[in-house]
Amino acid sequence: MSQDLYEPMVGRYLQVELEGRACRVYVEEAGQGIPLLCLHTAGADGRQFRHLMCDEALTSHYRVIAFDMPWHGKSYPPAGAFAEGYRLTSDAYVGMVVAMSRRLQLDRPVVMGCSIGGRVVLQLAQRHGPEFRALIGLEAADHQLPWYDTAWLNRTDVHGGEVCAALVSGLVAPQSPQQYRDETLWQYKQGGPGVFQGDLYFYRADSDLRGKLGDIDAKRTPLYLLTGEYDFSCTPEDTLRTAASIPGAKATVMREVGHFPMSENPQQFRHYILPVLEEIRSRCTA
Amino acid sequence: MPDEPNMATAGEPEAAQLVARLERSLSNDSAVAALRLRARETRVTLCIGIGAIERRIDVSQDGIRPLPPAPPLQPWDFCVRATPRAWHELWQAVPKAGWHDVFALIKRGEMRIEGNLQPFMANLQFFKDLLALPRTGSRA
Repeated sequence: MSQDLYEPMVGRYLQVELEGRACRVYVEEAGQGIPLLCLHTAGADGRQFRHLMCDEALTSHYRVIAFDMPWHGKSYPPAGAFAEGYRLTSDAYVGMVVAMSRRLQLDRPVVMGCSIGGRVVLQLAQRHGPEFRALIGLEAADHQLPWYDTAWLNRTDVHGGEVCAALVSGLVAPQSPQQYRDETLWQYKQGGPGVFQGDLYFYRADSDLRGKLGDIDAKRTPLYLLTGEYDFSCTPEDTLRTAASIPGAKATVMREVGHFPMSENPQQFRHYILPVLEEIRSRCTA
Repeated sequence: MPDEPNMATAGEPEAAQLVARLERSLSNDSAVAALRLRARETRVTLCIGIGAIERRIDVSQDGIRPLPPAPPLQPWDFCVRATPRAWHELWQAVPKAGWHDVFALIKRGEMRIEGNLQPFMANLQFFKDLLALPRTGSRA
């Protein structure tokens, strides 16, 4: 355990308008330098990036920022939205990331997203590439085959938190430390009813990007895709296929890691992410 | 899933040995008792198909116990069927990527689940851990 009284990250609530609604979004950050905006997976929250925020190898050069999307973690649903239920769309998600970046006044941040956050990174590259210094998709692909019916995620006769966590438990690599496996799954147990399912509407129904990514300019805005070998949801093959369709995109398969690299096995993940961040930084200072 | 998952070819694990391994794991009283505590309200008879061999397991207030082999057409609530190779790979101490989880196996067509899925999904981690019990038990 660290000798320090506090870990280095600080958290605040940001007032921001998203899709015409006033939102109160929880934001954590640590470090100074190039802004690195981190996007959590479906049904989880920004705690997934807690290890990166405590890693001086990152925070000495990067300002690491993670926010809980509305409905997730410490960010409430927008006022008046409870009764409507939750469903994430491509336009809403892309708009959210751009709005957060602008509201935080970030100067051409690097965006790193995982899973749904990795998928939206591809859409950010397509629609808003010049606004970003580089883009990193973790467990990202243009499409992937569904492996269960999301109707199971929100039923009155099945505990939502338990089933969400149990489903994604298989996406954690067997080599990942038990503590971090437990923490990763705990977020799924804590998720609000229907929120994971609402995120997966974006993933399953509203973001099939197959054959649509040829116009991404990865020379202007470098694009890195990194996927864990134990991810059978977004498989390494899905990621490699996607990277092959985007000239200049760089793909890496991470060994002994699953769908939540930064959260389930931070030590293993840093072996892969630090060289990427160093390359981005070198490009900025060249 | 092959039409005849019991048709072992050279080099494939024997279904009978895998069944024996499953039964040995269920005789590990401390591991089974710890597992049972996590689904105390569950009352289910599940079937496990290893190739052509079926074994039923009763989950009740009395514990988790394998039912003796019986003629075909015995009742169960749900049945998890997979090829011998799928069970063999799932039960490795550190399974290979893509063979390490029930849903990974279902996605690759090596496993299927039949019957009433509600008790399975309502106690999903419990049943996933039960099906993986031979991973930490005695080896075939």
